[in-house]
Amino acid sequence: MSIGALDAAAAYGRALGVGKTGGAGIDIGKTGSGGAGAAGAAGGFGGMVESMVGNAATSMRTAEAASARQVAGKGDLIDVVTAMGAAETALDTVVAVRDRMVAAYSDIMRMQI
Amino acid sequence: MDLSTAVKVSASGLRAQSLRMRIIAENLANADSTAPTAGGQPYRRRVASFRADLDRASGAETVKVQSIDGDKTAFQRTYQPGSPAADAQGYVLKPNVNSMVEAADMKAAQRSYEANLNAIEAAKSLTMRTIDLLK
Repeated sequence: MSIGALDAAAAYGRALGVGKTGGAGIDIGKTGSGGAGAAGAAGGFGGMVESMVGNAATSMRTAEAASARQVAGKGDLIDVVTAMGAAETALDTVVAVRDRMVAAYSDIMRMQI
Repeated sequence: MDLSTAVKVSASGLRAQSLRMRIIAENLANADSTAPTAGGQPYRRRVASFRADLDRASGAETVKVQSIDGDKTAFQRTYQPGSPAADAQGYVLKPNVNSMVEAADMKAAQRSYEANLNAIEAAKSLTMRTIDLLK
């Protein structure tokens, strides 16, 4: 595999842009320099992961609400399936990008000085 | 992302076909429903029609239910003077539901639902495989 840390960060930026109209990716520099909403204070990698997990958690909560409605007999099965699919995709993306970033960081840590 | 839009469009197809399935179930269940009053109208077969609907947020054409209308075919008229729904001449109007037509319609709805399910499955597996590229 030849996906670098920057590619992973760019993918993360695109993943962030999924929910917005136009689907435009987010500038990585902006994300790194505190553009990640509430997690902005942490900045850098920590802030990025925090906002990613936040996004994934939001879609998980949507899926949970949909399945709770379905169990209560008021929901739509198709809504549950699509919400679950979206949540799964979001979480998988977060985990994949996180793993990629952590691997890149440990590569740097192992670097000979 | 277009793959998630594809899932959304297919989900609208699932909704439309499940409504069509419901209408067919209603038709089959009411195949013998005569008029509640003497000489009245029995259950009229219903058909769902669909139309394309532009989802402005994603620019995709989803499917929406246009309307659910009554079938204009004439009712069957049978001589049953003992029936409570019989008119003055002893004739009872029976619903214009043909179980063969409903069975064919049901198969079509079933196949269409399955096609949409397959499209969702394909879009999902493509998304997952794309994410797998990161791993």
